[in-house]
Amino acid sequence: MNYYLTILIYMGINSILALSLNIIVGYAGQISLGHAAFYGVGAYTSALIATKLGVSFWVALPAAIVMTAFIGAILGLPSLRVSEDFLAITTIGINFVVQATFKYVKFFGGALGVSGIPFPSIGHHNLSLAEFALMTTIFTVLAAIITYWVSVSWIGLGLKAVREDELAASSSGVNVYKFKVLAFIIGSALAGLAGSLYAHFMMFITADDFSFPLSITILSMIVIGGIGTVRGAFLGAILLTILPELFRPLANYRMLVYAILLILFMRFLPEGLIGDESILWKKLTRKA
Amino acid sequence: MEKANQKSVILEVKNVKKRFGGIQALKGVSVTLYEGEILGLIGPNGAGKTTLFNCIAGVYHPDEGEILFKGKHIEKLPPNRIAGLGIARTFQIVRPFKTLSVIKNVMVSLGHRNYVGYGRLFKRPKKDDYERAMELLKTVGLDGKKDEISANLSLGELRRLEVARALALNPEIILLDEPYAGLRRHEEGRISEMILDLKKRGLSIIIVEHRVRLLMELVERVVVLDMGKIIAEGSPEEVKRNPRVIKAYLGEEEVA
Amino acid sequence: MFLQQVINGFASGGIYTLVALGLTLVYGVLKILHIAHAGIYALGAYLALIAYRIYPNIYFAFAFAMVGTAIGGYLVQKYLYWPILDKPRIVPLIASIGLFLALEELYRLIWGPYVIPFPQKFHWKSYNLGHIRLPGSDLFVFALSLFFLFILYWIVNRTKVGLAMRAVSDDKEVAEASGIDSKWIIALSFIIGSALAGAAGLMVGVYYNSIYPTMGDVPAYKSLAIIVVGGMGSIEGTVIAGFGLGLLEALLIGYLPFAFPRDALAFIAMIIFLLIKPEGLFSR
Repeated sequence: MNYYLTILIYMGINSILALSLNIIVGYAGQISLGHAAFYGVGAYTSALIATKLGVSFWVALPAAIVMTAFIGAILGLPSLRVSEDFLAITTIGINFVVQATFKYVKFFGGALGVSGIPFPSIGHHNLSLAEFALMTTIFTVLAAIITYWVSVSWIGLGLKAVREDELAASSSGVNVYKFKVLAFIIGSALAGLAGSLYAHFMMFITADDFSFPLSITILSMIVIGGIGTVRGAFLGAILLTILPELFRPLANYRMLVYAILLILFMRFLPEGLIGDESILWKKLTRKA
Repeated sequence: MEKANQKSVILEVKNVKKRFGGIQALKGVSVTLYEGEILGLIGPNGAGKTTLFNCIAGVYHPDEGEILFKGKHIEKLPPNRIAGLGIARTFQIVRPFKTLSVIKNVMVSLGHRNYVGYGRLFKRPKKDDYERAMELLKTVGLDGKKDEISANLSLGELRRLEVARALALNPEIILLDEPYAGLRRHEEGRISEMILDLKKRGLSIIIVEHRVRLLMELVERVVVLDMGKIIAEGSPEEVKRNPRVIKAYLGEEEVA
Repeated sequence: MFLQQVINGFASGGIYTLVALGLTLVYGVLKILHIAHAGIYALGAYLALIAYRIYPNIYFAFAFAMVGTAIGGYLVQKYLYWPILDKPRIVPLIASIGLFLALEELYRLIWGPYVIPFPQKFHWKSYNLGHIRLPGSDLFVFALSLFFLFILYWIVNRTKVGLAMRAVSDDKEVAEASGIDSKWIIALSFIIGSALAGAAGLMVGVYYNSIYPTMGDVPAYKSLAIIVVGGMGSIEGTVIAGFGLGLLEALLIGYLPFAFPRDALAFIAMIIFLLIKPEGLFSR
């Protein structure tokens, strides 16, 4: 039972990560290969203020969200200066630099990471695993509602215009700079939420939990599911949480199978499983 | 000219200069647009027509000179602010929001007031907005294709979509950058009809065009740009006979 | 001491440049970030290993590694990139990262996760120039890098094929209109770039006397930083940025007051550079 609850919690956290990256990459079209950095900023903020200041999870969580949103705004600034592939590489760089900062700066716990992060509690009652799973699920649903709302409101329309053509978007009255930074702020804030949940669930974090390969995994979730859609982000996150577990019997070949699957997906199903342009989704919506 | 003079000036470009690296693309250009007129801006390839457009639309900021819209300086404003003020444009090479449907393309522009500030950013478009978008699509004859993904449209349809998108800004001036480029004859006629319809609605229009022929029945006044300078101004007939204009076009396939 | 660091910097700069040039060539013609290129580089080192087991000779090893990686590069562009070129840019990017991961895993499964020493011990002489000691291994790597750079320079600037490569990377449509077979030129760019990476892999295997599955990681990220600073697709820019990074590292590592990983350093340098000059050294 505990195993399944843990998987459920991971699914929730991964879904929030996928949904949040979807705003930056899927809606706004800004290729970010460093999302784990924002996740890490959220986790470290939450962990550090909980351990150093002794505040509870309920204070640490919003603080982590605000802090990550702020860092997201700053780290999103390169997207205003550089374009496309430059941005992709810059965000890889940001991931490495953030990870190295956590690892080599004493304040952040260095190579030992941060331990003794309190598990969430209400009053004197420590949450049970099931309660934590429920809480994570609620936050996941909240994140889904937020990203859905962003997608259907005016801001979503503006973001998609920026994604398709920046010059045409600005000629249509869209302030491209503002929209890009907003995408990074909202996306990072949600990543901060995921980071805080992760830190207080694991109760121990190190810099290597937020490395570049994780950024790729998050990106793969939204591409495999169907980029730019809430349902796609969900499906991708669930699949990429469960698949490694199912591959456990493959032991030594696990990573290879995973990598090959990634290649095959890109090669034969680049629209994602249930993206707007995928065969499956087109069939489903035609019948409906 | 006389007819135009009775009307008030809506846009004034004064001595605008723009340099790219070693190339002086605009060498001090002044143009005046009167309210409700259609002005033709012609010139051979590389004359600086699109550069001038981009300066008015805020894509480039002039190195020197002023641009006044209803007396207000706009030469330092970004494109989205200029669009919001009421100067809309289309592009020589069409730039649709490819993966969005036709109606969503128009909705993007329609929402321009909601992009200012933060309060309305998170509101959803209302029924009125959709109705207004449909109205605009009807104006350009694309209402039948409202749910089509814009990447699937023909070039002529895309040009009309860009006009609908421009109109959604509720503009006073509309800048058309080579609206005829790449079109077939029967599509050319359709665009001309649409432009005359825009004029009837009281819009002031500048059309960039390479060939004078297409503008003959459309415009009262033509400005000729060559090598970043204005070399002639007048009615299409006058301009066509102007020796400087003929010389500028020498070696190109057609003037008329 | 200082000059020795400089020489060391030139040696590692040469290797960075060779690897990054492959990325530059590929980016030039296909506009794809070919991250799996570093997997090809590691392949070069392992192929040299095989070559030595067949016939222990350094020239044979070079030939074997370079031909092998050239074929590898050709297959990658034909069966992976070519069919997904018109997809959104993230698609080939993720495919490339997937391939990089898969290659590393393959090497690990075939040759084991441990560090394998290069089969032949080279006894490097050191040369003395006044009181500066020039280590033979550094000179070997630096001289070979220059040799390969010269060959590449000659191909790109002095041959018809090179002219076609430049034409395709400037504007594919125009190049095709003037009768260039762009499909073949793109394949050729991969072949040349991959052969260079293969040579670099071998050289690193010899230089550090170690070959291991993830040896491509660090060059992968560094060469990304290099091509950005070089201006994405500019060969001159890549050479300057590659040697520049080698020198910067060699000089900084000795004097930094705190420990910081080398790859993060490359990215910090890149980000600072980008903020000053967002279009890179030689923008296109």
